[in-house]
This record gives sequence, C-alpha cells and structure tokens, in this order.
Amino acid sequence: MYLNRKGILLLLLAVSVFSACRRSLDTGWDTRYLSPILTGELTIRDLVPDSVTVVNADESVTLVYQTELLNYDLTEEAIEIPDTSVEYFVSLDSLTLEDQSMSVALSLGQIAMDLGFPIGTLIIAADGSETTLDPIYNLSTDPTPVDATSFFETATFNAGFLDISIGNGLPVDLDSVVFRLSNSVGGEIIVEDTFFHVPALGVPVVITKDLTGMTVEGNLLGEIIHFSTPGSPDVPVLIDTSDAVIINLIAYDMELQEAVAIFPAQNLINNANDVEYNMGGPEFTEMGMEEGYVVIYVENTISDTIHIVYDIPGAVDEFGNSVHIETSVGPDEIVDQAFDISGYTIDLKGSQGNAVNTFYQEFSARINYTGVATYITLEDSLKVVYGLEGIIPNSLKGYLGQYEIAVADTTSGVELFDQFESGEIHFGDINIDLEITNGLGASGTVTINSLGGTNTATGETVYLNCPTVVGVPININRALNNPYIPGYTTISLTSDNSNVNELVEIFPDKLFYDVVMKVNPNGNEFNYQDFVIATSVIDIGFNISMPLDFFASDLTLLSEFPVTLDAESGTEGIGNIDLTLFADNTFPLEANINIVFMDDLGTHLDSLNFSGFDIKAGVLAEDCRVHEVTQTEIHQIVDGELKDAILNATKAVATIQFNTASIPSCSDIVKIYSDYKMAIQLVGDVNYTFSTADF
Amino acid sequence: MLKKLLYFFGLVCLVHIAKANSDSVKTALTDFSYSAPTTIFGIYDPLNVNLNGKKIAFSAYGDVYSASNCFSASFIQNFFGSGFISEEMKNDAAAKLSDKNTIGVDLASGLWMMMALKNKPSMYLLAGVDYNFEESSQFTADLFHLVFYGNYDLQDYTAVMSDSKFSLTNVMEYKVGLMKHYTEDYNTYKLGASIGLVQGLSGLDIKAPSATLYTAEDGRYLDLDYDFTIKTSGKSKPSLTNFAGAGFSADIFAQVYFKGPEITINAMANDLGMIFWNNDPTKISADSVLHFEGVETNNLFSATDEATAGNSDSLLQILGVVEKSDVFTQALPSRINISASKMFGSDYYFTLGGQYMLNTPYKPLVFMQFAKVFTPLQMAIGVNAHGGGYGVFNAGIDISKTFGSMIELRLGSNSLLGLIAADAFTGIGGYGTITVKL
Repeated sequence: MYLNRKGILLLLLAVSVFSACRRSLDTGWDTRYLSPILTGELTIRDLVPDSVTVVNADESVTLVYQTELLNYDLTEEAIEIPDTSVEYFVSLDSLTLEDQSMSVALSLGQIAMDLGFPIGTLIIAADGSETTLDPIYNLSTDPTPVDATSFFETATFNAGFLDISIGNGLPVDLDSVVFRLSNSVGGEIIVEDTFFHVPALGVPVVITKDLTGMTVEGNLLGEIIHFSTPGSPDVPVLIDTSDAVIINLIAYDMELQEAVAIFPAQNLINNANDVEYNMGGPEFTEMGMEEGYVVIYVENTISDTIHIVYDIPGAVDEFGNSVHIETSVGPDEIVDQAFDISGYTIDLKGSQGNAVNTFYQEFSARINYTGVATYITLEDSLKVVYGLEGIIPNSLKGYLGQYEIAVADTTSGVELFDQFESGEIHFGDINIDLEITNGLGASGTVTINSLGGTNTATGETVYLNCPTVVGVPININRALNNPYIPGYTTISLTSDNSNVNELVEIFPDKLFYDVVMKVNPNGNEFNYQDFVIATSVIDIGFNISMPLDFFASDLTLLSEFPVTLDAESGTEGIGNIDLTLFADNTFPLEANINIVFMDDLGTHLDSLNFSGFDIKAGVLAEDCRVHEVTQTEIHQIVDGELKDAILNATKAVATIQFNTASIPSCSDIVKIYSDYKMAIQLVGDVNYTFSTADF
Repeated sequence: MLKKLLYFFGLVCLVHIAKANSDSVKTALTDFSYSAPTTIFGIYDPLNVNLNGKKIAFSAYGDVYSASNCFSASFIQNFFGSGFISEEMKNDAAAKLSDKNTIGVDLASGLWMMMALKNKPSMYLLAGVDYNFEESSQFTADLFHLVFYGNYDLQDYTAVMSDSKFSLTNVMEYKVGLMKHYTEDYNTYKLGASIGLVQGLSGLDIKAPSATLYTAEDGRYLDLDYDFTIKTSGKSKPSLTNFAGAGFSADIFAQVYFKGPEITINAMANDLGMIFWNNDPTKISADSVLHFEGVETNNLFSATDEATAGNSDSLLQILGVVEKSDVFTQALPSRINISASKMFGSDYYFTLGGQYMLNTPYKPLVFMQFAKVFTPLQMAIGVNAHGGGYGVFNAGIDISKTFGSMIELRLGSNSLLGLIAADAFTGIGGYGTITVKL
C-alpha cells in the first residue's frame, strides 16, 4: 500500500492509538515499542509562503505580495481588424501580337508565264541573252497564297500597321503597280494600293496600311492586279527569268480585339490599387501580424492558362521580403489559396504614404507563349477574390482612437493569508501600492470608483477609504517604444492616507473593484504615434509590502487530510499508547495542536489535543527578540475510544492555534524573524500484542 | 493437508491393528523378531523392515518434532498451538538465551512399500511418498527481545540481530529405490538407495547477515543498519495440485550386522537434494542505513505549494526495500543418521547414535536407547535420551509391538519430557510407524 506523507503520518499515529483491549488471540504476546512517529519544523514558511518573504539584514521579515486586480487587453476587447477580401471581375487590359513579316517573290519567268504568247513567250525565249524590250502596258499576275497561319488564324485589330514594300529585281522599271492583299476565304480586301514607279534594281518602294478595325485571316492572297513597264527599247538588257519582284509584308504594333492566334507571352491584366480598412475610429499606419492570411481566389474563363502574380509591397517579413504570390489557373479552373503572413508587418499608409488604414496591392495576370492557337478576346475576364483575412495583429501603430472602458469585477483575494483559518491578527505598518501598468502607447486616465475586500467566511467587507484616490481620475503614463517600456503609475496606500490595515486584517479572500479607464481622452494629441503590441494590457496590480510583525490572537492554521485506515488492517493488537509531543520553539507564539477525526458526513468523532496543553512560546529578551529555545514535552494517553474514532474516520482536520506571548517591555505587536522555528516531534510508546494471525 | 494425511495413516493403522489382532492368535509366539531402529525419530527405516518370508511390506509413518535451546515446550505449544505466551514464558526463554539461538519444527510422514524381487529374493524394490515440513530459525538474543518484548527497555542500546535467519521448506517427495541384502561370513549386510522427484509446496528463506537497531533515549530516534533478504516461493497456498517448485532428492542407507558380537550398525542419509522455486518466486531485499526521527511533516501546515503536493513514498520505499521476482534454490534439509546397536543376552538392546540435519541451524544430536524385548508379548519397550538438535536434552520412550506375522507397530517419543514437564523442557515430539506385511 502507498501512502503520501500525511497518510504515513496517520498510519503511524494510528499504530500509536489503537485499542488497549487485546483481542481474543490464538497465538500472541505482549510487547512495548518505542518509536518516533513524526517530526517536523514549523517555520516562517508555514505562516506565509516563502515566495512573498524578504529577509532583511537583521533577519526580520518583510512580506511582499502581489496580486493582479485587473487586466484589460484593448486589442482583444475593443480593436477588431476586419477581413478585406475584394471580389470583382477583371477584363483583359490588352491583347497583342508580336510584329510579323512575310515575303512574296514574283519571278520574271512566272510573270512571263502569266503574260503568255507572244510577249511572255519571247521573254522566255530570250532567257540568258541580252536584248531590248519594248514598253509593255496593262500587265497583271495571278493571285499568290500568302500564309500567315503560323501567327494567327483570324484576328480583329484594334490597332496595327502593315508595311508593303516592293523591290524590283527585274532589269526594267515598273510603273503603276497595283498590289492587292485579300482574305482567302472571306475575300475581304485587306490592302489594295498603287506603287506608281518601282525602279529596276533600285530601293524597294514602301506603302504603310493601317489595320485598325480590320479582320484578317491567316490565309491571304496576294496579287499584282496591274503593272506596266517602259521597257528598254534602246539598250539591250540581260534577260534572266529568275529575276523577281519581291513583295515584303511587315505587320507591327498590332493590338487585337480578338483573335484565334498563337499569342506571345504577355500581361493581360495589370491592376494596382489601395485597399482601405474601416476601423471605426482608430487610424493605423502600420500593423504587425500575429496571425493572418493573404487569400487569392481566381476563376478563369479564358481559354488559356493564366499566370497570376499578387503583390503587397508594403507587407514585409522580418527579412524584408514582401508578400509575393504567383499561381497559375488553367482554362475553366479555379484557384483558391491562402498565404500565411504571420510575422509580417503591413504598411497602412497606402501607395502615396499619406493615408491610414490602407494598404497597397498589385495584381497581374498574364499568358505565356504556348505555340497553340487560342481564341482570346478583350471581352474575356477573370473572377478574382484577393485580400487579407483572419488578421490578428500583434502590433498596431498610428492613432488608437478614443475608448472609455468601465470594468467592475470581483477577483480572488489576498492569498497571503489563505492558511489562516480564523483568529485575529493585527499588523504594524502596511503599504499597498496600486500599480497601474499601461501597455498601450497611448495616454489615458483611470478612475477607481470603488475598491474593497471581503472575507466570505466571516462575511466581513471593507471598502477602501482614500479620498485622494477613490473617485479621482488618475492620469496614467503611456508606454514607450524601441525599446518597449510599459508606462507605470503607482498609487501608494498607507495607514496614513487610507484604511488599508482594516482592509488587510479581515483576511479578504475576495477583492472587488469598479474602475473606468479612458484611452486618448484628448484625441490624437501624439499625431499618429500611438502603438499597441501583443502584450499591451492595462493592468492594475495590488502590491502589499509590510514588515512581518503582528499580534496574533487564536490565529489558526488548518490542514485537512484523508484517513484511510480500517479495523481489519492488522492493527488490532495495538494497545494503550503514551504519545509524547516534544517541541523546541523560538517563535514568540504559544501553540495548541488539535486533530479532529471525522467520518464521511463530517461528523466529529473524537479529537487528539494533548490534553489541552500548549506548546510554550519562545521567551522574548529585552531586545524583543527570542534567543533561546523553549522546550515543551506533552503527553497524551490514547485509549480505545480514540482508536475507534480513528478507525471509523475518513478524514482528519489538524489545527494549530497561535497566540502572541509578548512581555511588558515590548509591544504586543512582535516582530517575526526568519530564524524562528518550532521543531516538533511525536514519539509513541506503544503497547502492542503480537498475533501470529497478523502474519 | 498434513492433518488429513495423519488421519489417513491413523485410520490405516487402526484397521490393520484390528485385523492383526485377530491374526495374532495363531502366529503370536512364532514370528516375533525385534531389531533396534536406526534412529529415535519416526522416519521410514527400510533397514529395519524385515519381510520375514513375506513378499511385500507397506509402511506408514509420521513424526513430529519441535525443539529449541531456549523456548520451553509450553512456549512452543502455545506459539504453534494457538495460545498466549505469557510474560513468565518469555522470561523463562530469555533466561536460556545464548548468543545464537535456535528453534525448529520438523514434520515428516510417508507411505512406503518394500517388495522382494521375484527372481532375486535378496533384492528389494522400494517405492514411497514422503511429506516433509521443516521450519527452523537461528536468532540472536536481541532479536528475541525485540520480537517478544519490544524495544521500550532497549533505550540507548544497540540491538544486534546479525546472522539471524529463518527457513521453511514444505515438500512432497516421490521416491523409488532398491536395497540389497546379503550375508558373508555370518555377517549380514544391507545396502540401498532411492531417488525421488520433489514437489515444492512452499518455501521461505530469510537471512539477515547484518542488522542492528539503536533506540535513542525516549525514543527520539532509531538508527537502523540492515542487510536482509527474504525469498519466498510465492503467494499461492500450498497444494498437492500445484508445483510451486520442483527438485530432486536421494536417500542412501546401509546396515551391517556382525553376528559374533551381536552388533548392528545402521547408517542413513535422507533427502539429499535441492529444490528450485521457479513458479512464482519473490525476492525482497534491503541493504541500508536509516536514521529515523519520524515521518517528516514539515509541510503539515505549510503555506507553500508543497502543502498539497503530497509525497508518494511508501514505508517500503523509506526502508529501501526492493522487491522483484527471482528464482531461487534451497538445499533440502537432509537428515544424516548413524547408529550402532548391541544385543545383550537375548532380550536387551542398547543403541548409540547420532543425527544431523544439513542446511539447518541444527546442532549434532547424540542419542541412546535401551530396549527390553518381551518375546511372549511380541513387544519391545525402550527408553531413550538425546542431546542436541534444535534443542538441548530430552528423553522419551519407544514401544514396538508385533501383531501376528503381518503387522508391526511402533509408537514413541524422543521428547517425552517436553510433554510431561512442558515448562521445564524445550522440546516435544512423537512418532508412529505401522508396517503391514503380505
């Protein structure tokens, strides 16, 4: 069986107290055992937690205890950052084709073939020889296919130009050359223009055609529907049927309304704008992210994969990297992504740097070259949702706005005295600091309308009475940044300016307050220099500091613990016990120990009180300090009735009651020193009847 | 279980005694022959079972013996027999204490068969079942004082309990063996041996090589210095259907009868063997030094968090006791007997012998017995005395009676004085043997 220390204590104690009457034993014999049962020391730690004690140079003790009266988180309670997702349809800004060029050659031989007999026949016959040529008028060629399908199948132009240049490689000039370019299927004429004189072997002649509004097919027909030549009637020229007229077509600056084309890589959408928050009062210029996401949702109805780039240049992480999201959306696909921006800081001054609650964002969509003809029109669009969601800031800068916060609550009380069950205690000087910590980088005031304490056990309630504090608005200092230092404002309550002794000496287990806090009561007086960080709270601490000197009257400590013994546990052989309590005491306090045994219902069964004798107090010397140990030896004979009580008990309550024992030359309020202690030891002289049945 | 076995043997005895009485009428004066037993204890003694022409003999026996160098018979009777041990008894025992004291209890019973082989009438087959319970302790005077008086009157004194020990073996043995009987130069020889399987019922072995307890004045503190080991066979109750352990044993025995001087020398070594407790063994040990001023309760009224944290230390943890499962081996308490008997005239026998129990705190026991044979009555009556063993001096009586040619009965006690003057003598015992020949 495993017991905790108190259980062992009870077991040993029980061994010391069970019945005097020996059972009707089969085999047994009487014995008498002497054993220490328990030992321990009562020190200053048992009166007050060591975490609140400060030992002074003279070994006197000062209690320093802090409890939090109020803790208000403005960012959690009052400031909410809304989601800023924006949904809209984005049309294509532009659709372009790269510059294109094509060339058509009409050789002399081909022209001769088109001229026929007799002129064409004569030219062919003269191939390779020098001869004179008479003028020839009203000539034409058959249509020649011009294939532009490697660029587009059809395209309607919002803008664009086509340069047609004709270079004459023939040995004679050409006049009145009429060139026509038309859609092969639709027949629409794209270009029909006249080159009045094209010199032989000279610089090509160029004509520029505006393509705006025209719809051009990829399959075109080019033809010279009329030309003449003055010939060379006087000077023989070399006839070479491979000489040719070169027609070059160069399309450029093409902007499309729509097209079925192999598009080059190009940006379709370029969008940059400011997004403004509605904060309902605060005007922030910068926001640090504890949590948050950039979300982007895109529905693509364009017949090509769209590549999205989303930037918030003003949102940067600790390494200076801004929010930059790239994603791709296939035709008729949806992309829904969230980008974690925890730890980022967002500039809220907008693109121009002079706004508040505003961040700047850029959105672009582009297509890449695929080599596949795709139909795209400027009427195409994307459904786009993007913005910030789930924002929990850990820092905000700017102007926090104005708030008036009224808080009235009851808190747990002063745990300093939790172990004191009852009795009276009167302390010496008590000082309580109400320490107001302002974690906001904003000015404010605190008004304590009421503050008090209650001992729920006794029903006593005491309100703080301090005319200079209660009901008076108190300006609180604002926090500083870089480095962050909360603003502290301390209000000191002493027995001189208030009734703090009365408040503390009732051992309040509840504190209550009614407080009004105002943030920025004078508006934006610091010109957007307010700030708040994750740990920024307004906190009111209840800090007690007092020398440990007191007068105790029946001051009682209590400890309750379970009793798990029973009559069948082999302890029947224990007879009368002489319990001896040895105590070595240097506390100037008399002490009386009492252990009450109870059953499940809390019924008092019996008690162990060492016949009512007290542990003697340490004796104060003339310097009002105990220097010698006072020894006490108390006996208690335990008989069968107490045994029965312990056997039937399920719990026990041990109490120790203190009374100050001062001397006339010292005050009733005695100072407690850290080296005071009460060493106690319980020894049992046990009559025990062994039984072999126990083994 | 033991009681049941004894009742059974008793019943068998009564039945056969009644039957033998009816048979004895016609054989009484012709078949009686007496041979002095090897020992003054009631164990099975194949050397002195004479078939006298019969083919087979069944023997049942029972022996109980308890003795101490300090505990009176009345003390022992009360201790083991449900009684209260008075201050007077304790004082008497205390007066007899020495530095090393002993107490032991032996309980033995069994049922054996001896059969002459058909083709070799001088060779006998032996088979039997033995039950042996041995409990013994060696302890110091201070341990006696602590146990029976407590430590109250040992204030400012260091009680020494070093080299104290306790052992218990409770076993069944299933044996089979052979014995050869032959004659040379008018002398008769018997030589035999048996081996057996040992069924462990329960075992316990406690040793404290070092243990002292100092009790301070007023009991303000205790200083303990201890090194002890407790080995147990397990928590299950002893049962014939359960093997808490298993082992082996062997008996060897020999007898020489010198016809010229009418001297018979007997030697027996029983239960040579060991047992392995391997079913559910537990070893509890501690080797520590402890200064004990009471359970520390510094946090009884503490205002710190420790006040409610508690502590899971148990008393065993405080004492540094370690418990684990650990197979262990016990050497069986082995009984060595050697004796010599001489016949004087035709009716008197004198026997001088010794016995020793190996693996126990037994002291060499020396005994003698003088017997007179009453041939017409088919009876022999002997008186015996011994010193040593677990106790000191004691004396008893031995009665052998033959009923017809089939039944031999032996009843007696080697510690009769403990029964007659229980407060003065420190041992008690009794035995009975019945042999039926067919």
